[in-house]
Amino acid sequence: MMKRGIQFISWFVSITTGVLIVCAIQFALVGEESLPGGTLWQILLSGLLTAAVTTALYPRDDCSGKKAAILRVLHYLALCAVMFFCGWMFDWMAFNLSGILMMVVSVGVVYLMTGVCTYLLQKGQAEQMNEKIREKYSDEE
Amino acid sequence: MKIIIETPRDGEEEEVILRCRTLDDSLIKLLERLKNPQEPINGHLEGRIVRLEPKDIFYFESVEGKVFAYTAVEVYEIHRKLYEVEEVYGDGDFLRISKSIIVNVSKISYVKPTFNGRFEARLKNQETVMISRQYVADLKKKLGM
Repeated sequence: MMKRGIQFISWFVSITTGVLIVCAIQFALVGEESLPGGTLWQILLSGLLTAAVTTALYPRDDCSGKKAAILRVLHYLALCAVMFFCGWMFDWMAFNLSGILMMVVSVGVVYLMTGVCTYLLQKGQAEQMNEKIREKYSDEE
Repeated sequence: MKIIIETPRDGEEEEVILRCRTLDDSLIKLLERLKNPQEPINGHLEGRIVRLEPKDIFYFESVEGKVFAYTAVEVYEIHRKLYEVEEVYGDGDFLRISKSIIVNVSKISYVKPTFNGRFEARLKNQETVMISRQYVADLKKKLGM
């Protein structure tokens, strides 16, 4: 339970920071000079909801490949649902075909980008570990 | 043979000095034990009991309450709990990499990331074992990173 709580806080901090960065870039590009009043609370609420969904559905380490793939699809769908809910609550999107498609694609792009970035970071770590393995155990059969 | 035990002065390294005229087999074995103090472990396979040298074990795995030792080609059941294995062999090249696996780090060919956000280790016998995220830091520490 404690571990889950820590995971939840960790996800909440990561997601909220990510959303803040995206918002900052978006506001800079659009040229807004000040944030609308409720935006910060909206970001916090969406961060809480997505962190809760992620803590519940993101595949844990002991998941097999098939189960992990199913959980990832469910996680993505749940994230879309959270974003639709926030979109409806805070008037972030138009509920027509193009608005819905735009949101589904946006969530997908963020999901994919996060996965690719994590993979690239881990690839670098793996190369460092392999270097150490070669140094330390190269004399063994 | 006379045995002398001395206490080193502050700041001096602990050391074993062997003073002998000839280095016979028994002394070589003794030196090997000193350099590699890990005890062999009993493995059970098809009614046979085999003394397994830790250096020949690729990994230990706990499956449905039983613990198995995997060598290059054979799988032996061992009558110990995984945490006991970790206590006895964890100071050497063995490291827990998931809830159910303790791997011999010297038997890893390479590690690589997976799209699940985990790492997998390819062993020198071509087997692959998964490294849980929470144990990656321990692996780095073991490798001196």
